[in-house]
Amino acid sequence: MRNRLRVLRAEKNWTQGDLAREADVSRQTINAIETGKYDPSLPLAFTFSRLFRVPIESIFQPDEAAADKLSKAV
Amino acid sequence: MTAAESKGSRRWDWGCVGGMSPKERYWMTRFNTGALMWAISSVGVKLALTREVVSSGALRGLVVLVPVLVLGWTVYSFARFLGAADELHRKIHYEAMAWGFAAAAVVLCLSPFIEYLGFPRMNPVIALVPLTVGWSLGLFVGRRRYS
Repeated sequence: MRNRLRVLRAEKNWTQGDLAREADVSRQTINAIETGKYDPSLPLAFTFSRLFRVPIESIFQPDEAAADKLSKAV
Repeated sequence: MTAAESKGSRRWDWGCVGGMSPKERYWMTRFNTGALMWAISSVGVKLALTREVVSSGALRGLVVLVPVLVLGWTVYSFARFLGAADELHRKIHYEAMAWGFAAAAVVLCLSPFIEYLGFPRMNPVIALVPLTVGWSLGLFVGRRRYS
């Protein structure tokens, strides 16, 4: 899954630590999400959505392979 | 006041190793202490029973319960640690546990067969060795993978 977390965070001038404190997770978690190593749980995705006041789908998008698979399934 | 500030005890302490929250660190410390106490009490009880330090039947039964109670407290501490853990830390620990239990299962399943090769009957407690090694290895790999 791809995400725009780093961009949204930069727009707010937040460090990873700031976002981690706001979302009540560790900085390691924020870093792992931003680098695409970890996909967050749905509640955490909703927390990001609330913090940045944008819909979840504008933060997280399926990567190319997953998007292809999804479009074939539909 | 931010959402994190309103939760108080769940605030994250960035100065500590691994970025554990105070609550996470609290339960992890208790788990580690419990594991150490369990090892010490197990050895102590074994010595007390084999050297007949405790001779009364009822008292022996009570003495045997000591490591069991300590282990119960240790497991409870670990469960509370997992409950307090950040979702990524929890995932890392679950994966590490899977490594440890898989390693222990392999050793336990192999033990009846290696007896045919002339090895002595293995004490099931030996399974703690691959469990601990696998768990530690899993933690190491998990922390590296998500860092």
